[in-house]
Amino acid sequence: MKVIACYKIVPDEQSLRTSSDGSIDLSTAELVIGQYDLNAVEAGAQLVEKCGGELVALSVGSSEVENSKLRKGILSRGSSSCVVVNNTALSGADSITTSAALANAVGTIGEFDLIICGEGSADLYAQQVGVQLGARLGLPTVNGVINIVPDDGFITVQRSADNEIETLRVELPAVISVSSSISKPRIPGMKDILAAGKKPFTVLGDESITAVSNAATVTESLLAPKQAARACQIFTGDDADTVAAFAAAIGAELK
Amino acid sequence: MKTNKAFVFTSNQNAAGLCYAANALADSSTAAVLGSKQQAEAILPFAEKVIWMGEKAEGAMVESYAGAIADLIISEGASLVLLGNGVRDRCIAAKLAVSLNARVITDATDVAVSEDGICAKRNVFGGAAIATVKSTSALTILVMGSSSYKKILPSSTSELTEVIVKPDNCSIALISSATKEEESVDLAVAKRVVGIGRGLGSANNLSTVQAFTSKLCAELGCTRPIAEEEKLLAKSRYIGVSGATIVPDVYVACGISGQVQHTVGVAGAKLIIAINKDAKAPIMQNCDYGIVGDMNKIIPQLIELL
Repeated sequence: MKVIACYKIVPDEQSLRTSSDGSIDLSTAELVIGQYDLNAVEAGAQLVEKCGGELVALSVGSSEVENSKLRKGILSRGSSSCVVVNNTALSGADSITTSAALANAVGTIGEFDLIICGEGSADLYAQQVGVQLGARLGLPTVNGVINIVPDDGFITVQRSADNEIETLRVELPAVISVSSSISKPRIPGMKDILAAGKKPFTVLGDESITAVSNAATVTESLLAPKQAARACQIFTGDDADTVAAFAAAIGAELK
Repeated sequence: MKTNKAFVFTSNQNAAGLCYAANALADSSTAAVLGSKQQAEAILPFAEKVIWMGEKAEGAMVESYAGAIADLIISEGASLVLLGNGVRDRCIAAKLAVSLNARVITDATDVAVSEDGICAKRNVFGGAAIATVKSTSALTILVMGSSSYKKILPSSTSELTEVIVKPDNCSIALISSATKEEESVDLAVAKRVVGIGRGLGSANNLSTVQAFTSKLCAELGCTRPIAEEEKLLAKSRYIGVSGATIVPDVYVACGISGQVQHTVGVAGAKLIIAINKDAKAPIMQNCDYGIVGDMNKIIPQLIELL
């Protein structure tokens, strides 16, 4: 089975800095592989480990896709090769632009059985790209997948769809988006990381991208959420006296 | 200002709520309903025009009607499409976006229509930031909750329009479907909520927290890891950016460090009380009352004292 797992390099939300005007500065943020994409990569790795074949990791974006630490990061998690598209036009791309770029990049990989996407990117979390990619490629596509059982020419998946659990038979090739509960991403060992450096890493440039014709969604501002001012009356200790004082203070509020 | 025409479809029950949003944002509204004729008729008061698409075919998934929905959107000449916040509606939105070359804004709030486009706010970076995004596309799809819209009715209503449609040919077969057995709780309406995080430690400590929750006449909520990884509580009890947003009078955060992904969901609480062993945890800067210590020692005492 040939599986393609899509991933996105994103600014780590834990490292975002807020400027004095409340705007978020992305330029200083540390880059990471999107956390939900790691679930997709892990699900793909487990599939090929179970039924043979190969896993190709695929990402589109601008210069961040060539980050050498993250290149090893993705190739040490079960994929045998990695393809990335580096195009400045994809910086800050919305879901429509991203799915178009992925569809073009998939065309360079050749035949495949299954494309797996995470439930959403860790930065924008629109939860759109996987199904859009499937629709662009004209393939069966479904989101919310929580379990995959491979078979001959099809997969049987369980899907968590709002208040229902569905079992679906999906003809291959197909594109699925997996829920984060599908897998626990592995922590690569030193051996995996060393081996990752020797695996094929292909960078595609501008020629693989067809511009999407209609107007994009643009981000006009990016601001830190406003937090209400809180009194912050802090008691320190779990001994009887401290807890009693704390209980008296909150007891008045809870009446 | 308003946009020309809004089109509403949803696979969940809250079509009326989305119609309120459509009436607020557009000059005229059309709602399409896949289901029984009675379900379609029930929507008549809420939209200018209601299209009954017929009953869903036996064994078909609602997502397989994306092609039929796209055709209706074109024939109605809509410039705005509204879908609900759910896995199915998101799937439909993505298919529509590709077939209609439209732009999608998911989890849209504070939607505003201006001359040059449709603006909305949405949480990004796990709630660490709020983005204002603008679509200048001829067709914009919004995937959104509708609870913030007041009951706005259309200026006129009409008879039910029947356009009976068929699902797309699809290489996905529905083998079986079962309603989730997991409990479903609406924390959004709770007056008091006790939330637990990783500081709980062992699952054995849960019963004490439950006793504390009953003592306070509160509902029990949690952080994402407690529901998704530890699976100690139902997903509907998870509070935060992709979970519940709560607005209680009192929120008691127990063993919760207060990462923004969680606190964005409790920002609307009138009073926040924190119990956490780490004095440096972000929750201690984002609470009204805090106590630094072991929650599993403090909570049994509070049950006696309160």
